[in-house]
Amino acid sequence: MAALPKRIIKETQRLVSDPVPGITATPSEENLRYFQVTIDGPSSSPYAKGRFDLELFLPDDYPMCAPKVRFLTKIYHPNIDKLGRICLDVLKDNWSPALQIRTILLSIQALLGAPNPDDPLANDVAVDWKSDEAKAIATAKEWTEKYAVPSTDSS
Amino acid sequence: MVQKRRFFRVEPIVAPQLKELENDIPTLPKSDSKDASSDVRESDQLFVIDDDSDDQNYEDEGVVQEISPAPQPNRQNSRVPGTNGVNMAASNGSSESQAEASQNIPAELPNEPEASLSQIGQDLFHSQITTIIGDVPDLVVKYLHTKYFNQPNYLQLASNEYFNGIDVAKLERESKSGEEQTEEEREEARRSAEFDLIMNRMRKQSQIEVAEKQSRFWKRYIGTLDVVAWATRPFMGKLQYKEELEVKRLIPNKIKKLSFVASKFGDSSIIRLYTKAQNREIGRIPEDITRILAPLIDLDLAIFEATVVMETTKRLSTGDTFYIQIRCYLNNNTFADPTQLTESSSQDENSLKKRKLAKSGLSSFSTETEGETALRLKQKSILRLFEKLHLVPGNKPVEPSLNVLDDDTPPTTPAPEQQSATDELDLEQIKDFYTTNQLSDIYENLPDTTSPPASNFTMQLRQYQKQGLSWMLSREKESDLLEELSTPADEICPTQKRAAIRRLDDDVMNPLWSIFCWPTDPNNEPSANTADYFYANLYNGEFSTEKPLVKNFLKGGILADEMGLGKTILTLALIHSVPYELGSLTEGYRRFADKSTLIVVPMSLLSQWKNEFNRSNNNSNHSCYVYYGDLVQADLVSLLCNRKNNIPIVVLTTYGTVQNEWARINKLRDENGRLPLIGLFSVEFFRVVLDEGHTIRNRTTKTAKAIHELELRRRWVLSGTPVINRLDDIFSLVKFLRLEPWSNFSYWKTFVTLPFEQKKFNQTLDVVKSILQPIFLRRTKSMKQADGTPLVSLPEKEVVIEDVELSKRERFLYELYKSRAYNSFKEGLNSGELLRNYTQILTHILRLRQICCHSELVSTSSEMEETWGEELTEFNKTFEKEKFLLETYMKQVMFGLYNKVDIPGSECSICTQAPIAIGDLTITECGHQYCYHCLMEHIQFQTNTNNTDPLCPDCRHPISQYRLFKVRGVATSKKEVRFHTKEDIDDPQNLYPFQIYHHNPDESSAKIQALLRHLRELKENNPGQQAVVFSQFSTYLDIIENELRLCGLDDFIVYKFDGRLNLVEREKVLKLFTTGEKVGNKLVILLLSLKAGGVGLNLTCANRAFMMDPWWSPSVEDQAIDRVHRIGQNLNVKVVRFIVANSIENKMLRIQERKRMMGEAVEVEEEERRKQRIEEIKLLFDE
Repeated sequence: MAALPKRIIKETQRLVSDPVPGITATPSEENLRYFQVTIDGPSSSPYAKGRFDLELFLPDDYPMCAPKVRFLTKIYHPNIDKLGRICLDVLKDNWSPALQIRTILLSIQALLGAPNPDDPLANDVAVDWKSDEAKAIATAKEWTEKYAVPSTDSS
Repeated sequence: MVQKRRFFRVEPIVAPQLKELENDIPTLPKSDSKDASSDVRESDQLFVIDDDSDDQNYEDEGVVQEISPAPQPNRQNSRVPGTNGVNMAASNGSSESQAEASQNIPAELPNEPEASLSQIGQDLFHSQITTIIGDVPDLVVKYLHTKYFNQPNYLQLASNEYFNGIDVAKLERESKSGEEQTEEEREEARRSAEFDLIMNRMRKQSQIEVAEKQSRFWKRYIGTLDVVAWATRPFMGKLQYKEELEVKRLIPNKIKKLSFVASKFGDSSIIRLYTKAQNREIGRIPEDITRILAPLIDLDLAIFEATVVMETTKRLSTGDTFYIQIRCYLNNNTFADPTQLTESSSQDENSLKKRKLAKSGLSSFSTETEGETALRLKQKSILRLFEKLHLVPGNKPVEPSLNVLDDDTPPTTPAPEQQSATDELDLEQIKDFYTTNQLSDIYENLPDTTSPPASNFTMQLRQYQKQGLSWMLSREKESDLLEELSTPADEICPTQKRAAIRRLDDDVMNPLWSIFCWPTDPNNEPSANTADYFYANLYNGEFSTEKPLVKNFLKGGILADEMGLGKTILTLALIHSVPYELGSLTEGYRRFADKSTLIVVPMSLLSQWKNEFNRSNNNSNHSCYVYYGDLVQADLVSLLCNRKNNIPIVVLTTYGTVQNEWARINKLRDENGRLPLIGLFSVEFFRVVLDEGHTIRNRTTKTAKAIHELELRRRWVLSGTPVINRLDDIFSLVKFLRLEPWSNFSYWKTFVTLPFEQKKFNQTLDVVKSILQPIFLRRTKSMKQADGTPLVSLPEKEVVIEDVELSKRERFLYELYKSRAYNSFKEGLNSGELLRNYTQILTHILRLRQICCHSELVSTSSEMEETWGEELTEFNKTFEKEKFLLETYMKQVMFGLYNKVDIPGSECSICTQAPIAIGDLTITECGHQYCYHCLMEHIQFQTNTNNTDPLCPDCRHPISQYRLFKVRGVATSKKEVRFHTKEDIDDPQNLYPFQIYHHNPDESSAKIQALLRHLRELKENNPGQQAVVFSQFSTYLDIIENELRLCGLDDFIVYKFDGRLNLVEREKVLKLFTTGEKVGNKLVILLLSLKAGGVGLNLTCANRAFMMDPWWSPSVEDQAIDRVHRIGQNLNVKVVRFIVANSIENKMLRIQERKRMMGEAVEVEEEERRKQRIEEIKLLFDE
């Protein structure tokens, strides 16, 4: 593989030295383009207290194209499907090379705080969300507790 | 075949004897075997007559000619076949038949034979010469014949002259005018002179023959054959164990009659066995053995004695087999004529002719003289005999192997195969023989402590260079000096070393010969010959009891060390070691400049040599004279000869100077064809060194011819790449070195060119290697020294190919040109005239390659507008909406950017570079700043991969490559900005420290941008390093230079070195670059033309090289890279080769790969080369 672009090195350094609150991103030892990411659910959201595991991969064309990001932790969210795929414009058409890993992860965090059922990826969730938002939020909380809250005994 | 036209006749008088012998019960008196066999020999004389001698009467006139076992008379024979025998008989007159013959001759000689003699001679000459040089006009043959007729090596001389070129038209004129003159008289005089000559020569010849016959007879055992013989008639008695049998060679009557069509000399004949007691025939030897033995008996070369090895218990019936053992002896006839052995030319000539014969089945029979036929027969038979006896070359006694009975051995291969096998063997032989003469071990043993006297030479040599110097000194036969220089004052030269040095003085065995050990005779029969070894030229069948030596008078050689090992220094070390001729100072036509070495170098290396000389010279009385340009003066004699002070021991000149001078005076030759004594051609140099000697590889060029006419005593060729295209490249060097006999083109042709054409690549390569071995030294960087360390440990070299993506516009142009090229190619291919259109296609290919570099390179050819004006306009329209339609609008935008630009605070949001280098800084319409290549990559990615309109990464404003601005470090007044923007500016008197300008991508090229990116990166990451940029197009270098100057004003210092610079300018540029004057932390760059700067230069101050465009032959690029990667380089070297993806360029890489794989030498033959070229072109147009 081609040498790691300077930009990726710089970004990684900054993610480590100057981390974003509520977000961690650690590069894998074998592949410096692969990151293990955690995002804390925003406090005002049904995902509060949850810590979500994600994986992030920087393709060869990065930064010309967006990083590939996916939730590993199960989450109940209209814009995130069962497989963890995320529907977010900046990860698709609205990507700009001026964006970075940091900004992308912040965008994802923001997405947790502001679900957008009008542009859904997980259709069933979006339908639930639209028909009975309170119930949907409750389910989201339930899922968060079930899957995303770090068990106390292990920590 | 040859044999068809040959026939054997038996002299009538002898015939009855034969008949007697044939008709059972021999009437020969009982005598010892030797006598009997010699009787048989005499009566069995075979006669070979040219049927070209048209006179059928000859046949019955008893013209007797014994086949001479000695090849010596060949030359004479070849000229006057038939008559030789006549004359021999005349002067010999010993035997009855011969006496009779002599009576007949005088009557015949006076008139007719005279004419026919010269006619025959000429016919013969004609056929000989045509086999060597192909079809030539009769006139030329006649001319050559009369000219060289009297010379001993007439063929060689004639073919030489032919290859040097003969003015046929002139000959024609001459012959016409000659005819009109007193033709008869002249003819008469000529004839009689000719006749006298022939008579004289024949007389001499016959004397030799007589002397030979009288010489002592001896035979010596060479081995034993176990043979199953079969009985030809019933035999009642018992054959006793160890009973001796008579071996008799008979030509049966029947066969004798049929001999007009006899296919092979002796092959159809029989060898019979007689009991000694009753002298009664009992059986014969099987055919395959007969075929081997018969010719040897016929030619009186060997003696065979048969004994019974298994006694027969009952009577033998016809057809029964019995077992015998044949003891084989070679007799003195085999080794006859030792005088010939020292004369390598004649033997080689024989083999040369023979090869011709073997090669072309069509060759006319008169090409081969009787002697040659005999020799060939001898060679073939002895080879087979040796094979049977398991006698192989070697200087150790062959272990007496148990010979299996013959019926156990596989049947011998049929004759035609054997023929080809011998052919194969010939080449193999040369190869083997040569390798036994390898000098490599001698080289290994050479002292590695030799240094030139410190009083002359300042520098320290590396170990391998010292060894190299030893080799060079030994090649110049300076063994005393070598001994002296290689031994430190306080030491005594060890004997081993001394021996190694002295060994070089020994003459080398002629490589065509091999050594054989006489087998030990189990019977311990005494022989007159007691030597341990004998020598054989299995190639042509000559034998000798003395070691055939090649006298090697050549002083000099080829130093082919790999580039960067210091050939220059080594040569200077040699010159400083032996600056003057210490031997004979006799002068020829030209004055002898005994203290001067002429060094001929390519122009670009002149100053480098001069500098190296000055650096190494420690003797203030020695100097270096540059014979070039204004310093060319005609009077070299007074300058060089008899100088006592400030002796110019080195004269430096260029190939161009030599060639110019030669061309100037070539027309002024005197009546002897000598050049006037002017300039370089007025003196004989002590030594001449050709640097980059492959320059003269084409011997037909003026340069090569001029060099070949220099006079000199010691000759050296320096070249890291002695073979560039074809094996024949070496010939010109060999000719310069006068390496006999290979410097004769006909030999070279026979042993190298022709076998190569027969596709015997490996053997031929090996032959060449072997030819060169003694005079050739090549070390490579990776070679190990005695202690296991490499000769030179150079830092690592990394060569990367960088794929470059053409811009849309470039790609468009490329496709236009490509379609045209393809059409032309297909046309050529379909009509089968691809090569006729070769130049045209090459032009097309050139255009394609140029577009890959920069479209500007083709637009100047004006064919672009003419051919594709419409398409271009159409194409340009597609971008029109992206471009600034109005200059004023563009300016408005541009000047509006001044306030947004913040160079120190700039950061490229794509690659996070901060700040962005000023030359790289690119501003979008919306005022955002990026690195140029980051932004271009983004734009291309968006348009090509995502198929969306590119947006500014920072603000998503639409952007276009036509609407970008760049910055350079030129101050701009704020006033000007205000004028365009109409904005208020606080301090109109002030200046902006930079200037924004509009960037037009059509003016640049993808490759240049890629180069720029690399250069910027280099400057950023490795400040202080220097880079070299190679291109083969000097106009391209100009464009690159402009571009670098334009946008790299603040980052780069650019020098350019190409063929347009004169010597002074070259020196200046190189000095500036190598001293690498640093201004700030600018990157120092040298733009170098591949052709002008690819060889010889030392650019180790740089450790980066960029190859802008690929060249056809990889070795040229390697040479260029080695300017940087050579001794003195301390840093790792990185080379980037820019190659446009999906273009002609990556196909060129494939061709390079092919060449590398096949080895470039393997394309010698013209036809092959044509095919190769077609292949290559096809490869280029391969989709």
